[in-house]
Amino acid sequence: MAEKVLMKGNEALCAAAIRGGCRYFFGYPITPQNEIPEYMSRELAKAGGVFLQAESEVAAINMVYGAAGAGARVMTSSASPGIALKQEGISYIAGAELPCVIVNISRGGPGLGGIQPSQADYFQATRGGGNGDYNVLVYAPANIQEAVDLMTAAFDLADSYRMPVMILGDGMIGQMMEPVVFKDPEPRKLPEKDWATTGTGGTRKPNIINSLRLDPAELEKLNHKLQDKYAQVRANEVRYEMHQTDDAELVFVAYGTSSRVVKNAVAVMRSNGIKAGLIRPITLWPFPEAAFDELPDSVRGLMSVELSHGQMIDDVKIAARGRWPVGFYGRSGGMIFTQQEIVEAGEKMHREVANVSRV
Amino acid sequence: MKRVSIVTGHYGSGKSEFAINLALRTVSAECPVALIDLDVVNPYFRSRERRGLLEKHAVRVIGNTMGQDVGVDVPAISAEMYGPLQDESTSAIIDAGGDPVGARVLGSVRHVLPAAEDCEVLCVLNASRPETQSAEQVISLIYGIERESGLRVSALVNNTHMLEHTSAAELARGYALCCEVGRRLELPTLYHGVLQSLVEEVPAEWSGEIVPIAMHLREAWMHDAG
Repeated sequence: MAEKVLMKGNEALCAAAIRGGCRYFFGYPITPQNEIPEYMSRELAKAGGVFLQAESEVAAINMVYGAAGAGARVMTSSASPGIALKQEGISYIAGAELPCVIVNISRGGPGLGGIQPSQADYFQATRGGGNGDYNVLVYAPANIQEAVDLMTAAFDLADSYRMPVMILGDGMIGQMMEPVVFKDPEPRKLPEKDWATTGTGGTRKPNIINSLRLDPAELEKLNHKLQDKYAQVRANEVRYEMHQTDDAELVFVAYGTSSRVVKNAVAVMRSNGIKAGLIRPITLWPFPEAAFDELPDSVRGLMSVELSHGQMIDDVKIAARGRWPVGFYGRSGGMIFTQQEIVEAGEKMHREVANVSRV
Repeated sequence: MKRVSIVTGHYGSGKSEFAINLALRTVSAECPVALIDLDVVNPYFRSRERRGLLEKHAVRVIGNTMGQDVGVDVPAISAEMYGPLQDESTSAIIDAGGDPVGARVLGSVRHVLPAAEDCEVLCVLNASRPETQSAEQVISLIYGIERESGLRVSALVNNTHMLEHTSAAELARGYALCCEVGRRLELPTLYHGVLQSLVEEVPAEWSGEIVPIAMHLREAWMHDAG
Protein backbone atom coordinates (compact mmCIF):
# COMPACT_ATOMS: atom_id res chain seq x y z
CA MET A 1 0.00 0.00 0.00
CA ALA A 2 2.43 2.68 -1.15
CA GLU A 3 -0.36 4.86 -2.53
CA LYS A 4 -2.55 7.24 -0.58
CA VAL A 5 -5.74 5.73 0.85
CA LEU A 6 -8.53 7.14 2.97
CA MET A 7 -8.77 5.50 6.37
CA LYS A 8 -10.41 5.89 9.72
CA GLY A 9 -7.91 6.42 12.55
CA ASN A 10 -8.73 3.16 14.30
CA GLU A 11 -8.34 1.10 11.12
CA ALA A 12 -5.18 2.91 10.11
CA LEU A 13 -3.62 2.22 13.52
CA CYS A 14 -4.27 -1.50 12.99
CA ALA A 15 -2.84 -1.58 9.48
CA ALA A 16 0.24 0.24 10.79
CA ALA A 17 0.56 -2.13 13.76
CA ILE A 18 0.53 -5.18 11.50
CA ARG A 19 3.08 -3.50 9.24
CA GLY A 20 5.14 -2.73 12.35
CA GLY A 21 5.23 -6.43 13.21
CA CYS A 22 2.26 -6.89 15.54
CA ARG A 23 1.18 -10.55 15.45
CA TYR A 24 -0.88 -10.89 18.64
CA PHE A 25 -3.86 -8.86 19.77
CA PHE A 26 -5.83 -9.34 22.96
CA GLY A 27 -8.64 -6.95 23.78
CA TYR A 28 -12.19 -6.32 24.81
CA PRO A 29 -14.70 -4.05 23.03
CA ILE A 30 -15.45 -0.49 24.11
CA THR A 31 -16.49 2.60 22.14
CA PRO A 32 -14.86 4.60 20.52
CA GLN A 33 -12.11 2.09 19.68
CA ASN A 34 -14.22 -0.87 18.52
CA GLU A 35 -12.93 -0.71 14.94
CA ILE A 36 -9.54 -1.80 16.32
CA PRO A 37 -10.54 -5.26 17.59
CA GLU A 38 -12.93 -5.57 14.64
CA TYR A 39 -10.14 -4.90 12.13
CA MET A 40 -7.68 -7.12 13.98
CA SER A 41 -10.18 -9.97 14.17
CA ARG A 42 -10.48 -9.79 10.38
CA GLU A 43 -6.91 -9.01 9.33
CA LEU A 44 -4.44 -10.33 11.90
CA ALA A 45 -4.86 -13.99 10.98
CA LYS A 46 -4.14 -13.10 7.34
CA ALA A 47 -0.74 -11.82 8.51
CA GLY A 48 -0.11 -15.08 10.35
CA GLY A 49 -1.11 -13.62 13.71
CA VAL A 50 -3.60 -14.36 16.46
CA PHE A 51 -6.59 -12.27 17.54
CA LEU A 52 -8.37 -13.16 20.72
CA GLN A 53 -11.26 -11.36 22.36
CA ALA A 54 -10.65 -11.79 26.05
CA GLU A 55 -13.40 -12.08 28.65
CA SER A 56 -12.39 -8.74 30.17
CA GLU A 57 -9.80 -5.98 30.00
CA VAL A 58 -7.97 -7.54 32.97
CA ALA A 59 -7.71 -10.84 31.12
CA ALA A 60 -6.61 -9.08 27.91
CA ILE A 61 -3.70 -7.22 29.50
CA ASN A 62 -2.52 -10.37 31.26
CA MET A 63 -2.58 -12.20 27.91
CA VAL A 64 -0.41 -9.36 26.61
CA TYR A 65 1.89 -9.91 29.60
CA GLY A 66 2.21 -13.60 28.77
CA ALA A 67 2.73 -13.15 25.02
CA ALA A 68 5.25 -10.34 25.57
CA GLY A 69 7.12 -12.58 28.02
CA ALA A 70 7.37 -15.20 25.30
CA GLY A 71 8.92 -12.60 23.01
CA ALA A 72 5.89 -11.91 20.80
CA ARG A 73 5.03 -8.56 19.26
CA VAL A 74 1.74 -7.96 20.98
CA MET A 75 -0.74 -5.16 21.47
CA THR A 76 -4.01 -4.35 23.16
CA SER A 77 -6.38 -1.44 22.81
CA SER A 78 -9.18 0.06 24.81
CA ALA A 79 -10.78 3.34 25.78
CA SER A 80 -10.43 5.21 29.06
CA PRO A 81 -12.25 3.07 31.68
CA GLY A 82 -10.97 -0.06 29.92
CA ILE A 83 -7.40 1.23 30.23
CA ALA A 84 -8.08 1.90 33.92
CA LEU A 85 -8.86 -1.80 34.29
CA LYS A 86 -5.58 -2.66 32.59
CA GLN A 87 -3.36 -0.61 34.89
CA GLU A 88 -2.39 -3.47 37.17
CA GLY A 89 -1.19 -5.51 34.20
CA ILE A 90 0.65 -2.54 32.69
CA SER A 91 2.54 -2.04 35.96
CA TYR A 92 3.47 -5.75 35.99
CA ILE A 93 4.64 -5.55 32.37
CA ALA A 94 6.75 -2.48 33.18
CA GLY A 95 8.16 -4.24 36.25
CA ALA A 96 9.00 -7.35 34.24
CA GLU A 97 10.59 -5.12 31.56
CA LEU A 98 8.50 -6.42 28.71
CA PRO A 99 7.76 -4.72 25.39
CA CYS A 100 4.19 -4.23 24.21
CA VAL A 101 1.98 -1.59 22.60
CA ILE A 102 -1.17 -0.23 24.23
CA VAL A 103 -3.66 1.99 22.42
CA ASN A 104 -6.03 4.26 24.33
CA ILE A 105 -8.68 5.94 22.17
CA SER A 106 -9.98 8.01 25.02
CA ARG A 107 -13.47 9.18 25.88
CA GLY A 108 -15.03 11.46 28.46
CA GLY A 109 -14.87 10.51 32.13
CA PRO A 110 -14.74 10.01 35.06
CA GLY A 111 -16.26 6.57 35.55
CA LEU A 112 -17.98 5.06 32.56
CA GLY A 113 -18.40 8.63 31.28
CA GLY A 114 -19.50 8.96 27.67
CA ILE A 115 -18.34 7.96 24.22
CA GLN A 116 -17.32 11.36 22.84
CA PRO A 117 -13.64 12.42 22.57
CA SER A 118 -11.66 13.55 25.59
CA GLN A 119 -8.09 14.10 26.81
CA ALA A 120 -8.77 13.47 30.47
CA ASP A 121 -6.50 10.40 30.56
CA TYR A 122 -3.28 12.43 30.51
CA PHE A 123 -2.54 11.71 34.18
CA GLN A 124 -3.46 8.04 33.71
CA ALA A 125 -1.04 7.75 30.78
CA THR A 126 1.87 9.86 32.00
CA ARG A 127 1.76 9.32 35.75
CA GLY A 128 1.75 5.56 35.48
CA GLY A 129 -1.79 4.83 36.54
CA GLY A 130 -0.69 1.60 38.12
CA ASN A 131 1.49 1.22 41.20
CA GLY A 132 5.22 1.72 41.49
CA ASP A 133 7.92 3.88 39.94
CA TYR A 134 7.37 3.22 36.27
CA ASN A 135 6.62 5.03 33.04
CA VAL A 136 5.37 4.10 29.64
CA LEU A 137 6.44 5.90 26.48
CA VAL A 138 3.33 7.88 25.47
CA TYR A 139 2.72 9.20 21.96
CA ALA A 140 -0.13 11.58 21.14
CA PRO A 141 -0.70 11.80 17.38
CA ALA A 142 -2.54 14.84 16.00
CA ASN A 143 -3.57 13.38 12.66
CA ILE A 144 -4.01 9.96 11.10
CA GLN A 145 -0.75 10.04 9.16
CA GLU A 146 1.16 10.77 12.34
CA ALA A 147 -0.76 8.02 14.15
CA VAL A 148 0.28 5.58 11.42
CA ASP A 149 3.93 6.65 11.49
CA LEU A 150 4.15 6.45 15.29
CA MET A 151 2.36 3.11 15.40
CA THR A 152 4.55 1.57 12.69
CA ALA A 153 7.64 2.36 14.77
CA ALA A 154 6.08 1.59 18.17
CA PHE A 155 6.95 -2.11 18.28
CA ASP A 156 10.60 -1.41 17.49
CA LEU A 157 10.72 1.17 20.28
CA ALA A 158 9.05 -1.16 22.75
CA ASP A 159 11.55 -3.92 21.90
CA SER A 160 14.44 -1.50 21.97
CA TYR A 161 13.73 -0.30 25.52
CA ARG A 162 11.84 -3.36 26.77
CA MET A 163 8.96 -1.22 27.94
CA PRO A 164 5.31 -0.58 27.08
CA VAL A 165 4.60 2.05 24.45
CA MET A 166 1.23 3.77 24.53
CA ILE A 167 -0.54 5.51 21.66
CA LEU A 168 -2.94 7.97 23.27
CA GLY A 169 -5.51 9.34 20.84
CA ASP A 170 -8.78 10.94 21.78
CA GLY A 171 -11.94 9.49 20.23
CA MET A 172 -11.72 11.91 17.33
CA ILE A 173 -8.31 10.52 16.29
CA GLY A 174 -9.85 7.04 16.33
CA GLN A 175 -13.02 7.95 14.45
CA MET A 176 -12.03 10.57 11.92
CA MET A 177 -10.91 9.75 8.41
CA GLU A 178 -7.90 11.17 6.62
CA PRO A 179 -5.67 10.24 3.69
CA VAL A 180 -2.65 8.16 4.74
CA VAL A 181 0.41 6.61 3.15
CA PHE A 182 2.07 3.60 4.76
CA LYS A 183 5.85 3.64 4.94
CA ASP A 184 8.34 1.32 6.58
CA PRO A 185 9.87 2.68 9.78
CA GLU A 186 13.52 3.67 10.06
CA PRO A 187 15.41 0.43 10.67
CA ARG A 188 16.62 0.14 14.25
CA LYS A 189 19.23 -2.22 15.63
CA LEU A 190 17.24 -4.25 18.12
CA PRO A 191 18.59 -6.26 21.03
CA GLU A 192 18.18 -10.04 21.05
CA LYS A 193 15.23 -11.23 23.13
CA ASP A 194 17.49 -13.55 25.14
CA TRP A 195 15.23 -13.03 28.16
CA ALA A 196 12.10 -14.48 26.52
CA THR A 197 10.48 -17.71 27.66
CA THR A 198 10.98 -19.55 24.41
CA GLY A 199 12.03 -22.92 25.80
CA THR A 200 15.50 -23.84 27.04
CA GLY A 201 16.09 -26.70 24.62
CA GLY A 202 18.02 -28.21 27.52
CA THR A 203 20.87 -25.80 26.86
CA ARG A 204 20.36 -23.01 29.40
CA LYS A 205 18.65 -22.13 32.64
CA PRO A 206 14.96 -21.23 32.27
CA ASN A 207 14.13 -17.56 31.73
CA ILE A 208 11.69 -16.35 34.35
CA ILE A 209 9.29 -13.45 33.79
CA ASN A 210 8.30 -11.90 37.09
CA SER A 211 7.72 -8.55 38.77
CA LEU A 212 7.89 -9.91 42.32
CA ARG A 213 11.12 -9.10 44.14
CA LEU A 214 10.83 -9.73 47.85
CA ASP A 215 14.41 -8.76 48.63
CA PRO A 216 14.26 -4.95 49.02
CA ALA A 217 17.82 -4.53 47.78
CA GLU A 218 16.96 -6.50 44.65
CA LEU A 219 13.81 -4.46 44.11
CA GLU A 220 15.71 -1.22 44.51
CA LYS A 221 18.25 -2.51 42.00
CA LEU A 222 15.45 -3.14 39.50
CA ASN A 223 14.12 0.37 40.12
CA HIS A 224 17.55 1.87 39.44
CA LYS A 225 17.70 -0.13 36.23
CA LEU A 226 14.28 1.17 35.20
CA GLN A 227 15.26 4.74 36.03
CA ASP A 228 18.43 4.41 33.91
CA LYS A 229 16.28 3.18 31.05
CA TYR A 230 13.84 6.08 31.49
CA ALA A 231 16.78 8.50 31.46
CA GLN A 232 17.79 7.08 28.09
CA VAL A 233 14.24 7.46 26.78
CA ARG A 234 14.22 11.06 28.00
CA ALA A 235 17.51 11.69 26.23
CA ASN A 236 16.59 10.03 22.92
CA GLU A 237 12.87 9.87 22.31
CA VAL A 238 11.35 13.26 23.15
CA ARG A 239 9.33 14.58 20.23
CA TYR A 240 7.49 17.84 19.73
CA GLU A 241 6.55 20.44 17.13
CA MET A 242 7.16 24.19 17.43
CA HIS A 243 4.58 26.13 15.42
CA GLN A 244 5.02 29.87 14.84
CA THR A 245 6.88 30.36 18.12
CA ASP A 246 9.83 32.37 16.69
CA ASP A 247 8.35 35.78 17.50
CA ALA A 248 5.41 34.66 19.67
CA GLU A 249 4.12 36.57 22.67
CA LEU A 250 1.49 34.03 23.70
CA VAL A 251 2.36 30.35 23.27
CA PHE A 252 -0.32 27.69 23.48
CA VAL A 253 0.58 24.16 24.52
CA ALA A 254 -1.76 21.53 23.08
CA TYR A 255 -1.59 17.96 21.75
CA GLY A 256 -3.75 15.66 19.63
CA THR A 257 -7.11 16.99 18.47
CA SER A 258 -6.76 20.10 20.65
CA SER A 259 -3.62 21.12 18.79
CA ARG A 260 -5.54 21.09 15.51
CA VAL A 261 -8.12 23.54 16.83
CA VAL A 262 -5.36 25.64 18.39
CA LYS A 263 -3.41 25.83 15.11
CA ASN A 264 -6.46 27.31 13.46
CA ALA A 265 -6.86 29.71 16.39
CA VAL A 266 -3.20 30.77 16.06
CA ALA A 267 -3.83 31.68 12.41
CA VAL A 268 -6.88 33.75 13.36
CA MET A 269 -5.03 35.52 16.19
CA ARG A 270 -2.11 36.32 13.90
CA SER A 271 -4.51 37.80 11.35
CA ASN A 272 -5.86 39.89 14.26
CA GLY A 273 -2.32 41.14 14.89
CA ILE A 274 -1.56 38.98 17.95
CA LYS A 275 1.63 36.99 17.86
CA ALA A 276 0.51 33.55 18.98
CA GLY A 277 2.33 30.25 18.64
CA LEU A 278 2.04 26.62 19.66
CA ILE A 279 4.16 23.97 21.31
CA ARG A 280 2.72 20.60 20.34
CA PRO A 281 4.02 17.73 22.46
CA ILE A 282 4.12 14.50 20.41
CA THR A 283 5.53 12.50 23.32
CA LEU A 284 3.53 13.19 26.47
CA TRP A 285 5.96 11.08 28.46
CA PRO A 286 8.72 12.04 28.24
CA PHE A 287 7.27 15.55 28.24
CA PRO A 288 9.17 17.89 25.87
CA GLU A 289 10.61 20.25 28.45
CA ALA A 290 13.34 21.23 25.98
CA ALA A 291 10.72 22.89 23.77
CA PHE A 292 10.20 25.54 26.43
CA ASP A 293 13.91 26.35 26.58
CA GLU A 294 13.77 27.15 22.86
CA LEU A 295 11.17 29.87 23.32
CA PRO A 296 12.28 33.38 22.39
CA ASP A 297 12.44 36.39 24.75
CA SER A 298 9.27 37.76 23.16
CA VAL A 299 7.10 35.21 25.00
CA ARG A 300 4.93 36.74 27.75
CA GLY A 301 2.69 33.84 28.67
CA LEU A 302 1.76 30.22 28.07
CA MET A 303 -1.69 28.68 27.82
CA SER A 304 -2.36 24.97 28.13
CA VAL A 305 -5.38 23.94 26.04
CA GLU A 306 -6.85 20.52 26.75
CA LEU A 307 -10.02 18.49 26.36
CA SER A 308 -10.06 18.14 30.14
CA HIS A 309 -10.09 20.43 33.16
CA GLY A 310 -6.32 20.72 33.22
CA GLN A 311 -3.88 17.82 33.48
CA MET A 312 -1.00 18.54 31.08
CA ILE A 313 -0.89 22.02 32.62
CA ASP A 314 1.08 20.50 35.53
CA ASP A 315 3.85 19.47 33.13
CA VAL A 316 3.66 22.84 31.40
CA LYS A 317 4.23 24.54 34.76
CA ILE A 318 7.15 22.24 35.56
CA ALA A 319 8.69 22.95 32.15
CA ALA A 320 8.03 26.70 32.45
CA ARG A 321 9.99 26.79 35.75
CA GLY A 322 8.25 30.01 36.71
CA ARG A 323 9.53 31.89 33.67
CA TRP A 324 6.09 32.70 32.33
CA PRO A 325 2.54 32.81 33.71
CA VAL A 326 0.59 29.71 32.66
CA GLY A 327 -3.09 30.02 31.70
CA PHE A 328 -5.59 27.31 30.83
CA TYR A 329 -8.57 26.66 28.61
CA GLY A 330 -10.42 23.36 28.44
CA ARG A 331 -13.69 21.61 27.70
CA SER A 332 -14.65 18.16 28.90
CA GLY A 333 -17.20 15.40 28.80
CA GLY A 334 -16.80 14.97 25.06
CA MET A 335 -17.37 18.63 24.17
CA ILE A 336 -14.80 20.06 21.74
CA PHE A 337 -13.97 23.76 21.84
CA THR A 338 -14.31 25.85 18.70
CA GLN A 339 -11.40 27.82 17.37
CA GLN A 340 -13.30 30.97 18.32
CA GLU A 341 -13.36 29.91 21.97
CA ILE A 342 -9.57 29.47 21.87
CA VAL A 343 -9.10 32.82 20.12
CA GLU A 344 -11.15 34.57 22.81
CA ALA A 345 -9.37 32.85 25.70
CA GLY A 346 -5.98 33.46 24.09
CA GLU A 347 -6.65 37.12 23.34
CA LYS A 348 -7.89 37.69 26.88
CA MET A 349 -4.71 36.22 28.33
CA HIS A 350 -2.61 38.14 25.82
CA ARG A 351 -4.17 41.40 27.02
CA GLU A 352 -3.36 40.46 30.61
CA VAL A 353 0.28 39.53 30.01
CA ALA A 354 1.32 41.63 27.01
CA ASN A 355 2.80 44.46 29.03
CA VAL A 356 4.18 42.43 31.89
CA SER A 357 7.95 42.21 31.74
CA ARG A 358 9.41 38.76 31.87
CA VAL A 359 9.84 37.36 35.37
CA MET B 1 -34.70 10.55 -7.89
CA LYS B 2 -37.31 8.08 -6.68
CA ARG B 3 -39.59 8.72 -3.71
CA VAL B 4 -37.56 6.49 -1.42
CA SER B 5 -33.76 6.38 -1.67
CA ILE B 6 -31.85 3.92 0.46
CA VAL B 7 -28.20 4.85 0.83
CA THR B 8 -25.89 1.90 1.52
CA GLY B 9 -22.18 1.29 1.04
CA HIS B 10 -18.88 0.56 2.66
CA TYR B 11 -18.39 2.43 5.86
CA GLY B 12 -16.32 5.51 5.26
CA SER B 13 -17.60 5.77 1.70
CA GLY B 14 -19.29 9.06 2.53
CA LYS B 15 -22.86 7.76 2.73
CA SER B 16 -23.96 10.16 5.43
CA GLU B 17 -22.44 13.21 3.77
CA PHE B 18 -24.05 12.14 0.48
CA ALA B 19 -27.41 11.55 2.20
CA ILE B 20 -27.33 14.98 3.87
CA ASN B 21 -26.49 16.73 0.61
CA LEU B 22 -29.10 14.72 -1.30
CA ALA B 23 -31.75 15.66 1.28
CA LEU B 24 -30.85 19.35 1.18
CA ARG B 25 -31.03 19.53 -2.62
CA THR B 26 -34.27 17.54 -2.82
CA VAL B 27 -36.32 19.32 -0.17
CA SER B 28 -38.71 22.07 -1.23
CA ALA B 29 -42.15 23.39 -0.29
CA GLU B 30 -43.69 20.96 -2.80
CA CYS B 31 -41.43 18.08 -1.85
CA PRO B 32 -41.13 17.35 1.86
CA VAL B 33 -38.15 15.14 2.72
CA ALA B 34 -37.43 12.92 5.70
CA LEU B 35 -33.89 11.76 6.38
CA ILE B 36 -34.00 8.48 8.29
CA ASP B 37 -30.67 7.78 9.97
CA LEU B 38 -30.42 4.03 10.51
CA ASP B 39 -26.68 4.03 11.23
CA VAL B 40 -26.25 1.83 14.30
CA VAL B 41 -22.60 1.05 13.50
CA ASN B 42 -20.69 4.32 13.71
CA PRO B 43 -20.50 6.17 17.02
CA TYR B 44 -19.41 9.51 15.43
CA PHE B 45 -20.05 11.35 12.13
CA ARG B 46 -23.70 10.38 11.69
CA SER B 47 -26.19 12.36 9.65
CA ARG B 48 -28.49 12.94 12.65
CA GLU B 49 -25.70 14.99 14.26
CA ARG B 50 -26.60 17.67 11.70
CA ARG B 51 -30.25 17.80 12.76
CA GLY B 52 -30.00 21.56 13.32
CA LEU B 53 -28.87 22.29 9.77
CA LEU B 54 -31.32 19.83 8.22
CA GLU B 55 -34.34 21.03 10.18
CA LYS B 56 -33.47 24.62 9.35
CA HIS B 57 -33.97 23.61 5.73
CA ALA B 58 -37.22 21.78 6.61
CA VAL B 59 -35.77 18.28 6.30
CA ARG B 60 -37.38 16.03 8.89
CA VAL B 61 -34.71 14.01 10.73
CA ILE B 62 -35.48 10.66 12.31
CA GLY B 63 -32.80 9.38 14.68
CA ASN B 64 -33.09 6.99 17.60
CA THR B 65 -35.88 6.63 20.13
CA MET B 66 -33.82 8.23 22.88
CA GLY B 67 -34.00 11.69 21.34
CA GLN B 68 -30.22 12.01 21.59
CA ASP B 69 -28.25 12.50 18.38
CA VAL B 70 -24.73 12.56 19.85
CA GLY B 71 -23.04 10.23 22.29
CA VAL B 72 -25.40 7.25 22.16
CA ASP B 73 -24.39 4.12 20.26
CA VAL B 74 -27.29 1.81 20.99
CA PRO B 75 -29.51 0.38 18.24
CA ALA B 76 -32.68 2.11 19.41
CA ILE B 77 -34.46 2.56 16.11
CA SER B 78 -37.54 4.73 16.03
CA ALA B 79 -40.86 3.41 14.70
CA GLU B 80 -41.36 6.97 13.44
CA MET B 81 -39.40 5.90 10.36
CA TYR B 82 -42.37 3.90 9.02
CA GLY B 83 -44.37 7.10 8.48
CA PRO B 84 -42.45 8.75 5.64
CA LEU B 85 -41.71 5.39 4.02
CA GLN B 86 -45.46 4.77 3.57
CA ASP B 87 -46.61 8.37 3.08
CA GLU B 88 -46.74 8.84 -0.69
CA SER B 89 -46.61 12.63 -0.36
CA THR B 90 -43.14 12.54 1.26
CA SER B 91 -39.72 11.68 -0.06
CA ALA B 92 -37.60 9.59 2.25
CA ILE B 93 -33.86 9.05 2.31
CA ILE B 94 -32.56 6.22 4.45
CA ASP B 95 -28.94 6.57 5.59
CA ALA B 96 -28.00 2.99 6.47
CA GLY B 97 -24.95 2.00 8.47
CA GLY B 98 -21.84 0.90 6.64
CA ASP B 99 -21.00 -2.52 5.29
CA PRO B 100 -23.29 -5.58 5.24
CA VAL B 101 -23.53 -5.38 9.03
CA GLY B 102 -24.93 -1.83 8.85
CA ALA B 103 -27.35 -2.85 6.09
CA ARG B 104 -28.85 -5.63 8.21
CA VAL B 105 -31.24 -3.21 9.91
CA LEU B 106 -32.89 -2.58 6.52
CA GLY B 107 -34.53 -5.97 6.88
CA SER B 108 -36.90 -4.34 9.37
CA VAL B 109 -38.21 -1.82 6.81
CA ARG B 110 -38.35 -4.14 3.81
CA HIS B 111 -42.05 -4.91 4.24
CA VAL B 112 -43.11 -1.25 4.04
CA LEU B 113 -40.93 -0.13 1.13
CA PRO B 114 -42.75 0.96 -2.04
CA ALA B 115 -42.40 -0.98 -5.30
CA ALA B 116 -39.22 -0.63 -7.35
CA GLU B 117 -40.58 2.22 -9.49
CA ASP B 118 -40.70 4.37 -6.35
CA CYS B 119 -37.69 2.99 -4.49
CA GLU B 120 -33.97 2.94 -5.25
CA VAL B 121 -31.26 1.15 -3.31
CA LEU B 122 -28.02 3.04 -3.84
CA CYS B 123 -24.57 1.68 -3.14
CA VAL B 124 -22.12 4.52 -2.49
CA LEU B 125 -18.58 3.81 -3.67
CA ASN B 126 -15.38 5.53 -2.66
CA ALA B 127 -12.47 4.09 -4.63
CA SER B 128 -10.03 5.79 -2.21
CA ARG B 129 -10.97 3.38 0.57
CA PRO B 130 -8.66 0.37 0.69
CA GLU B 131 -11.56 -2.09 0.86
CA THR B 132 -13.34 -0.81 -2.27
CA GLN B 133 -10.61 -0.32 -4.83
CA SER B 134 -11.24 -3.26 -7.18
CA ALA B 135 -14.42 -4.38 -8.92
CA GLU B 136 -14.13 -7.75 -7.14
CA GLN B 137 -14.07 -6.04 -3.72
CA VAL B 138 -17.09 -3.88 -4.59
CA ILE B 139 -19.10 -6.77 -6.01
CA SER B 140 -18.43 -8.81 -2.89
CA LEU B 141 -19.55 -5.83 -0.78
CA ILE B 142 -22.75 -5.44 -2.81
CA TYR B 143 -23.56 -9.14 -2.47
CA GLY B 144 -22.98 -8.83 1.27
CA ILE B 145 -25.28 -5.81 1.56
CA GLU B 146 -27.95 -7.62 -0.48
CA ARG B 147 -27.65 -10.76 1.61
CA GLU B 148 -27.96 -8.93 4.94
CA SER B 149 -30.68 -6.46 3.93
CA GLY B 150 -32.78 -8.73 1.71
CA LEU B 151 -32.82 -5.87 -0.82
CA ARG B 152 -31.39 -5.70 -4.31
CA VAL B 153 -28.97 -2.81 -4.98
CA SER B 154 -30.42 -0.90 -7.94
CA ALA B 155 -27.79 1.75 -8.70
CA LEU B 156 -24.29 2.98 -7.88
CA VAL B 157 -23.10 6.34 -6.60
CA ASN B 158 -19.57 7.42 -7.47
CA ASN B 159 -18.59 9.21 -4.27
CA THR B 160 -14.84 8.77 -4.67
CA HIS B 161 -13.08 11.34 -2.56
CA MET B 162 -10.05 12.07 -0.42
CA LEU B 163 -11.90 14.66 1.67
CA GLU B 164 -10.70 18.18 0.84
CA HIS B 165 -7.67 16.70 -0.95
CA THR B 166 -9.83 15.13 -3.70
CA SER B 167 -8.61 15.55 -7.26
CA ALA B 168 -10.34 15.10 -10.61
CA ALA B 169 -8.10 12.06 -11.21
CA GLU B 170 -9.57 10.35 -8.14
CA LEU B 171 -13.11 11.06 -9.32
CA ALA B 172 -12.24 9.55 -12.70
CA ARG B 173 -10.78 6.45 -11.05
CA GLY B 174 -14.02 6.09 -9.10
CA TYR B 175 -16.11 6.49 -12.23
CA ALA B 176 -14.09 3.81 -14.02
CA LEU B 177 -14.68 1.49 -11.05
CA CYS B 178 -18.43 2.22 -11.11
CA CYS B 179 -18.54 1.53 -14.85
CA GLU B 180 -16.74 -1.80 -14.41
CA VAL B 181 -18.98 -2.89 -11.51
CA GLY B 182 -22.02 -1.59 -13.39
CA ARG B 183 -21.10 -3.58 -16.49
CA ARG B 184 -20.73 -6.79 -14.54
CA LEU B 185 -23.84 -6.40 -12.37
CA GLU B 186 -25.94 -4.42 -14.88
CA LEU B 187 -26.22 -1.43 -12.56
CA PRO B 188 -26.40 2.20 -13.65
CA THR B 189 -24.29 4.94 -12.00
CA LEU B 190 -27.07 7.34 -11.02
CA TYR B 191 -25.14 9.97 -9.10
CA HIS B 192 -21.72 11.45 -8.61
CA GLY B 193 -21.05 12.94 -5.19
CA VAL B 194 -18.62 15.71 -6.15
CA LEU B 195 -17.05 18.39 -3.96
CA GLN B 196 -18.49 21.75 -4.93
CA SER B 197 -15.04 22.94 -6.00
CA LEU B 198 -14.67 20.05 -8.47
CA VAL B 199 -18.09 20.11 -10.12
CA GLU B 200 -16.77 22.00 -13.17
CA GLU B 201 -14.20 19.28 -13.77
CA VAL B 202 -16.68 16.45 -14.28
CA PRO B 203 -16.66 15.43 -17.98
CA ALA B 204 -19.99 16.07 -19.72
CA GLU B 205 -20.10 12.54 -21.14
CA TRP B 206 -20.34 10.86 -17.73
CA SER B 207 -23.72 9.26 -17.17
CA GLY B 208 -25.51 10.16 -13.97
CA GLU B 209 -26.45 13.28 -12.08
CA ILE B 210 -24.01 15.40 -10.10
CA VAL B 211 -24.78 15.96 -6.43
CA PRO B 212 -22.47 18.79 -5.32
CA ILE B 213 -21.08 17.92 -1.89
CA ALA B 214 -20.56 20.39 0.93
CA MET B 215 -18.74 18.66 3.80
CA HIS B 216 -21.24 19.24 6.59
CA LEU B 217 -19.90 16.51 8.90
CA ARG B 218 -16.30 17.69 8.82
CA GLU B 219 -15.48 20.33 11.41
CA ALA B 220 -13.53 23.40 10.29
CA TRP B 221 -10.47 22.43 12.36
CA MET B 222 -10.19 19.08 10.58
CA HIS B 223 -9.26 20.75 7.31
CA ASP B 224 -5.80 21.53 8.59
CA ALA B 225 -4.02 18.19 8.79
CA GLY B 226 -1.93 19.50 11.68
